[in-house]
Amino acid sequence: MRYLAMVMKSRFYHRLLAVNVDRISVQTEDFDVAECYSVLREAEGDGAIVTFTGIVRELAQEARLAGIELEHYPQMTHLALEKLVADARSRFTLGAVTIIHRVGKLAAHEQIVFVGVTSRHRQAAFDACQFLMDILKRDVPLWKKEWHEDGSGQWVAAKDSDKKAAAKW
Amino acid sequence: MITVKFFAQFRELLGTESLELAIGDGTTIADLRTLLASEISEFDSVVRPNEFLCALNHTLTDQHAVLSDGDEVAFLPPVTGG
Repeated sequence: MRYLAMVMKSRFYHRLLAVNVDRISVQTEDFDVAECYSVLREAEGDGAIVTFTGIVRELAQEARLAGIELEHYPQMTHLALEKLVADARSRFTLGAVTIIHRVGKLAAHEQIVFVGVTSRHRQAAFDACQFLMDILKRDVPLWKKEWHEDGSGQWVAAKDSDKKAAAKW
Repeated sequence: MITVKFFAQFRELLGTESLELAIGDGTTIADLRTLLASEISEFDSVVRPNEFLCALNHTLTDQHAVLSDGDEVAFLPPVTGG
């Protein structure tokens, strides 16, 4: 019993528990950053939170956008995000991890994606957040279409800079 | 039979989101791509060599993957989420 109590108090045990606090969602509805942040603050023993929020820009190549549409591969997207989080956990010592990605039609300034991680110290949290976004932009089956104010639509081309960002990991 | 799926600009340009077809033993995704390019005139210009990703049963893979009956293969344009 004494050994069990020691294990339960140990950081290792809390890390085991932390595996269960991944929060992954692919959804049409908006998310509340304050609520996401408050969940991350509950991570046991961690001293750093880093979050990223992506929003819809109102301009693309100088043209004003009416909004964007995000298509995905429903049977695969959640699985790809789960693999992404598992890869991040194998590289960095993390407490809580949250990834929320929206799909469907979004207007300018709407929120697209939230990534948040906790760790004991800031460097792992910064690096893990960057890793998650860089690899998400290479490996998770989501595609943006930009809708212009004249009613025309155009699929966004993958950027070389994003490929390079993912390749550095 | 296998199921082949297309997404985003591939779906729009090919005019189909999925199709089913029979394949022979040992067929790889590269073989499947060659077969589809011979059957669908615009395929080669839409799913251009080295400008697509492929998934087998909802996991990213490469073109050497060997297919089995009941598999779901997807041809994916380079992704642009985030």
